[in-house]
Amino acid sequence: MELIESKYDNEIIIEDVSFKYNREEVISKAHFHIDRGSFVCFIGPNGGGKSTLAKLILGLLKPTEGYISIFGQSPLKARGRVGYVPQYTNFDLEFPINVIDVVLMGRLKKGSLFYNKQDRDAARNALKSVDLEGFENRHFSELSGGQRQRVLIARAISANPEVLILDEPTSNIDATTENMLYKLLFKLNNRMTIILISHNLTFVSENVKKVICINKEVKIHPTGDITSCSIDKLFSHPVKFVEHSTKVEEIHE
Amino acid sequence: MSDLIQSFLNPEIPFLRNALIIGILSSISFGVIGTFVVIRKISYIAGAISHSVLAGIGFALYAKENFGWDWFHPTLGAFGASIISAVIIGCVKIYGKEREDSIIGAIWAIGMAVGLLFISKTSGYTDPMSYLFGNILIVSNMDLYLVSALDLVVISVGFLFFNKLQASSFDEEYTSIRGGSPNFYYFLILILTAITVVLMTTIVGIVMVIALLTIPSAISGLFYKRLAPLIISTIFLTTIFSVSGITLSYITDTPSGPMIIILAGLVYILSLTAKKVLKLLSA
Repeated sequence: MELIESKYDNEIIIEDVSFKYNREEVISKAHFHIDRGSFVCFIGPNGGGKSTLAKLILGLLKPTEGYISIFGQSPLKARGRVGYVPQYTNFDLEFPINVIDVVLMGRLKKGSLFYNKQDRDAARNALKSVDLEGFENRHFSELSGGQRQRVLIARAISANPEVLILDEPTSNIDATTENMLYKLLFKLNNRMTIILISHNLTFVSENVKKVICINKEVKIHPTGDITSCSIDKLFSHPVKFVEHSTKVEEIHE
Repeated sequence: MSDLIQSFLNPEIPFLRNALIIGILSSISFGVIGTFVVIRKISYIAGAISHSVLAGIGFALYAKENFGWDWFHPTLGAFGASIISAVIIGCVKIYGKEREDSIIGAIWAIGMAVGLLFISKTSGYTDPMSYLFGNILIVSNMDLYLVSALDLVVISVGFLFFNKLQASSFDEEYTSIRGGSPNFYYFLILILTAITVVLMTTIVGIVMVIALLTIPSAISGLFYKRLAPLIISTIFLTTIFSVSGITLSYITDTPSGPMIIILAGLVYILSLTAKKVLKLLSA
């Protein structure tokens, strides 16, 4: 019994989850588990339901059917334990805000109106762990795309989440920055479970333990298992497929 | 100049002193809320709320005369109408399936229509022009008290919820992940906007209050990239525009609203030009 419970506490469980938006089924009977500490990829075409599934895990949406548990808690209750990094291109760059204020948002709490010293320290440490020390007072819009992405990662990790969900972190980012970003994510993976959403298939590395293909239906592949056949099925038309088995570090060199 | 100072202190003309105090006090609310209105890009909503205020003013004047509601001061009526419009607009955005845009346009026009009808059925001296374009002659002691109280509400709520308002304006989705309700903060901004708009209706007028809410913040936005300094600079500019506008309107015997707005508009154009020139010079 104890064993079952601890397993339950160490998994993100998605059980027969369906989600309908305006009667149209976006996710159909998704059923999979994610182990604590793993690094998984949600891949699939745009509009295939990847982001929807992420939002279900974040508790921003409620499943029409099925059951989600994050380390033994409902998504709403587990909110403080899940960090989220949205696409950095979604932001209004005219907005007058500097880096530290963006990161401090990760320390927002229900019932407290002001940030305390602990919050400020956590925000500074988070910036340090994404290599943006000294950027506190820079304006958010002055930063490059990769830097903005890292600020948003700092915001998410400032609350010490157990899971980090990143929505298309590599879109519109050059290859060098992309590699830096993956190095950072693998480092963070020592501390937290990472779910990476991508429609970009070029990224399948040895460090990724599981690839979850989402196009309304959900298919799971351990890495290395992806064949061009299953990819074609996922995108429902033939796609170009480049197989990667090299480590990210090697690509960088 | 000493004549002018004497007029401010003259107990025979309390409206001038009241108008100046109201101008200075409301500048703080204008600075805080105006900045949020500009960065959230909801100035058209603020416009609808401010125009609908006429319905409340008209009803207050009508009720005073026809129902003998002497306590029903026009500023109270304005306050009621602006809150009602803010709530309707907020509900439409959150729950409604109608086009938000059309509802805002409807509230804008219906509010004015209702107000003008009530005023037309009220005898005695009620010139809609005073409310539409601002008139310091209608500023009473009661206005001063009401405005001070409302101003205090806006400033304290703005201060207490500053971090949350900033966060939810920047990223609604993330705010809700952190356990906050973006809808609540959206409503809060609308309600605070509604109150703020009322503060200056007597001085700037319903039609132009929206300009005083947005121009100073737009000017500050040219020079400051952080929220806190932006707000402080906006408060400073709003104070200067309203005090000098009121003074000029008193000296030249012109309506106060247009005076204030022309000043603000001129400084805006000058700032835009100055910024362009500075950019060319530094390039």
